[in-house]
Amino acid sequence: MAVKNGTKKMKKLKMPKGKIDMPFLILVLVILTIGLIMLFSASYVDAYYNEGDSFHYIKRQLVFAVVGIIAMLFIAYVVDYHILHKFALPILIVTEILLVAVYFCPEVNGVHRWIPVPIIGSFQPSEIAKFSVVVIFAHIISLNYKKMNTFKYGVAPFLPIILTVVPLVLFERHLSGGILIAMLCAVLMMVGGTQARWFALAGGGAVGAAVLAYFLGLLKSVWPRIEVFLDPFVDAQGAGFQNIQALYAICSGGLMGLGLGNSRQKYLYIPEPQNDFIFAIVCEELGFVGATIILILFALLVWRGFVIASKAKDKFGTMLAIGLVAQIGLQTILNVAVVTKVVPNTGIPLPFFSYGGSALMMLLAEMGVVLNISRHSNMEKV
Amino acid sequence: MAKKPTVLMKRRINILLIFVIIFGFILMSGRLFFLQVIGGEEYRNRATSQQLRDTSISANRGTIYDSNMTILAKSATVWTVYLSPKYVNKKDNNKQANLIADKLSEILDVDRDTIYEKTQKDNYYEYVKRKVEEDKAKEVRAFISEYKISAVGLDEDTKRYYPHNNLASTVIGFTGTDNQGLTGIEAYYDSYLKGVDGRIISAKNAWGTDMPFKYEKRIEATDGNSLVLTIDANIQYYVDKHLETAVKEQKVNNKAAAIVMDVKTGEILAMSTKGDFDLNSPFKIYDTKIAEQVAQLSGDEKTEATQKYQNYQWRNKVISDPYEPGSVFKIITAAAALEEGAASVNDRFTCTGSYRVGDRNIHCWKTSGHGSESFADGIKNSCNPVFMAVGARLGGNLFYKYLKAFGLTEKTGIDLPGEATSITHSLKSLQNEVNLASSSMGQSFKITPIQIITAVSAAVNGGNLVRPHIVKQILDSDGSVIENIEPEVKHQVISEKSSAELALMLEKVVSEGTGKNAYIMGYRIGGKTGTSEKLDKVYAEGEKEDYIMSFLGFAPADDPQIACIVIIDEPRAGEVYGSAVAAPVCASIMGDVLPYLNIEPEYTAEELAKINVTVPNIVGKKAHLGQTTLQKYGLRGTILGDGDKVVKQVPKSGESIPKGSTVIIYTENSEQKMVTVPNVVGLSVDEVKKRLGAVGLNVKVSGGGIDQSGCLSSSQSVAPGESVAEGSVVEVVFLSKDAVE
Repeated sequence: MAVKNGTKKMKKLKMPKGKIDMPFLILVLVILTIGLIMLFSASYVDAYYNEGDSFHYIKRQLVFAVVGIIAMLFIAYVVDYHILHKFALPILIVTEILLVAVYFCPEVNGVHRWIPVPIIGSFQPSEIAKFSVVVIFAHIISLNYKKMNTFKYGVAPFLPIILTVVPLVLFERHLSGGILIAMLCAVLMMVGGTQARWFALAGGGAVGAAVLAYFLGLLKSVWPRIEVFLDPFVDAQGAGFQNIQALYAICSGGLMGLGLGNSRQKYLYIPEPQNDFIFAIVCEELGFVGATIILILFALLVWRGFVIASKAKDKFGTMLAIGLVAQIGLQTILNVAVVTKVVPNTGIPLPFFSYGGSALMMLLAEMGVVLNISRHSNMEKV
Repeated sequence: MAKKPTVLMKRRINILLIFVIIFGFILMSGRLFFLQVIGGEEYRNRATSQQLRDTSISANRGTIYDSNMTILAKSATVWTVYLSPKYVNKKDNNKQANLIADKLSEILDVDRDTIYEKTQKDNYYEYVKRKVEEDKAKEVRAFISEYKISAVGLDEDTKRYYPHNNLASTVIGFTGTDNQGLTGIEAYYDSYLKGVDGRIISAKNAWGTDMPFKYEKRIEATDGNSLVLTIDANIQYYVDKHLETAVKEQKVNNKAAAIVMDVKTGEILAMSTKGDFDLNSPFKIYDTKIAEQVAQLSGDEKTEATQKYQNYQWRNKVISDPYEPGSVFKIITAAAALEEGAASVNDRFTCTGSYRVGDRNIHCWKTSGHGSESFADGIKNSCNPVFMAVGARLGGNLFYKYLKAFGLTEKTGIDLPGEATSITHSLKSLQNEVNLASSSMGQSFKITPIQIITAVSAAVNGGNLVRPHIVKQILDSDGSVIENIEPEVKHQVISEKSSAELALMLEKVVSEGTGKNAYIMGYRIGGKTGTSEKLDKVYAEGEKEDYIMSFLGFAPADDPQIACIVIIDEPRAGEVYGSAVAAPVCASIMGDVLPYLNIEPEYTAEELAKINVTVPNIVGKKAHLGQTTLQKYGLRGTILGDGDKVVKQVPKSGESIPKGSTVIIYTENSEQKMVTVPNVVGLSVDEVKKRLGAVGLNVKVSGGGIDQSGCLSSSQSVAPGESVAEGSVVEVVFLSKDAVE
């Protein structure tokens, strides 16, 4: 058995290699490089004053980026993404367990959102949740694709997953995480073939639930945030502070920006400039032109990802690629929307830019999966 | 191919792609365009204003010089020590806060707990102490670097120094904590002295410290202008000294004040109010009695009392306190009368001791009356009936015209803050003969000392009313002159002829009349005494009436150069006439000031007879030759012992003694003869000479006019009972006792 498997592998490796999608890889590496440079630029002041070392954040992020790239390439070239068929359900189960387990972990900044892990530091189960939802949805859709227009196959199988994962993430008081996962689910189901009326129904149900929650007083904790969103100056020194400082930074950038490294707002004005609000520093230093170029790079990445999805060898690959790439696109748009005060501040990082080692590593591994999908579709052509 | 994505999937992927690109990226990019390119101006400005800190650079305050460029007020750099509580390391049980509190309290002498409380606040700036001198600032800097403390810092500031402490304190004034002038010249010329502060605009991070990138814009400070005063520190010193002595000797209750003024230019050479205060710590109450009273109070009462007495001690009496000028004012009535021909020098008057005005009798100070006297005698005697009669001749209209022409109905416009307005009768109320009569002799109205000295200066300087002023030049920070303040003649009040006549009449007041005590040998002093009862004062039961004694003198009488007014408010040593209280002070001041101004004494024959000579050196000479030398100087020599050569002489060479005094000449084998000084106070000049001569002592006489008849000795330079060498000189001061008013 072992020998047989071994020869099979050898055979495969000896087979002419399918090419991975080079534009996608290059886009990932370019965005990652810009992201790392900007992370250093945005973080060194805060790191110097608060951590005593200008390189505090960039050192750690670089280590994870290197490990992440290795993981990405390993997954792209060595692993077969079909293996995820087998793991779809176990991953989901583990995710749900972690989402519960996280409540028993120590509080960070007043919320239970991180699970401490030796060496890595800590990771967010909600990050894994995004991945596991994509995988299980892709798995189910690849099985049910013919009957996706029915409730039984097109809606019902997904409901238990949505109704467990999303509330669990929301209970972490991780609003943006919950919203993002819900949006991912919707995207996958839509592409998978679920009838449009169910989305209308779900949307109506969500609005109804929100109204009901409002009258039941459940939104009390959220309401001040919305107030601050409508006018950050009502609490300029408190809840509105970060938003105001971010706007100052963005507006200071102007058309061409103050130049790389020349942000003034990073001098302790914007709290934690290396995290969710890093894009404000990008805008300040690189200006409208620089920021728009970065948005275009992200848009190209999404486009290229969707091309990979369209060309995928099978429906599982298509759905997987759509889910993973849509995740980046949605997260980027939401992050920029928050930073530019289009939507309320929900705490959502910018992919490849914001500080967070485990999230970056995860992201690069996911890009490895997308590349792997592209490789398999190319292989068949050869 | 069945495995491939369905057509539906591909279509939906395209829809999704369009949706994400359009509604996501394009919208976000549009939002950025709106914020960064089209709008955002307001946020951009707000960002700039929070990133830039404006620090002001203090302009150096100008220096105040006296007329000889002696520094009276100067600014120097000092430091403000501050604390940034946010940067205080609160770890280890507030170890650093305790260290800061301990050390700063030790260096700066500030309460330790107060500092500790400040370290626990949640802000960036708390000042610990202001106006810290360089040496202490150095210690603070050493402390900061030794312990690497970022929470303590120093800001530059300036402090005002007054090297002459009390000198002219009520005139110069002082500055507050923000270097703004609060009183005196410092306040009046604040806009000249203060300059324009500069600014440093620099980029700071949110913690308030400098950003690493250089952005700094300096707008340099423009230093303030300096002032050169007309005040001469030396003259001011003489005035201060003599006033202070008077305050002590006369037990003055409500301060004494004086002005010395150039009668032709209106330049104030000295202006003094005593008791005053040290400009370097003006908030301290210097009157020990009042300070004790205030110390016993507490709370609001204490604050209120402190402020009240501080204002009292800062008050420049000569410009802020109107008073009844009394007889000094008769100079003005006389000037008007001479000019209008209402009276001439030799007009005859008769004083019966009282004068009838309407339905009442107003008495002369000499109730027995002066009898028949000329107008000149009337001034000499300060005779009230004469002046009431002259006032009546002038009439209300003319009297008022001169009141106005001499500037007594308006402020003089002196360049000092707080000049009070006079309270005089109106033209209408002067039609009342009682008002006119009392006004003619300086009663029933109030003017300020600066007004009367200005008016009298006009009366004797040839008739020109000048604006008194105290700043002569304004200099820029490099010391070049920006502005010369020229003397300003407002108008001519009386003719030169009337003025000259008046001056000579007033000289007689000092040489022969009620002003004898202002006499100084060799100088032609003119002047007038004044005494006024404080009628509007509320007296406690059994309290004696208080008076304001004054004397206004000028010299030389034939060509007046300077005038000096001395005001003694509420003397309580028993004297009740200005002639005895204020005139001697004026004499002491003039005696110092006239020689200082190089106005040489000119002696009359009578004076020459009394003039002092300087004892020549005869030690080493043959005794007989020594005696001859002494004779040449108008001195006598008495030889003791039978030696040949002079080994010692008393008085020593160089001493100044009256002509006709005796010098004791000691030869080789003679013994020093000691004598005991007798008490000679309260005696006439002849009696004093006789008693001191009897024991072999020489007398040096001062005060009391040329004609010292009627003068009594008031003090002696060597105390009675002391043993001195025979031949020593005892100086005795005589004061006129019949020169009362």
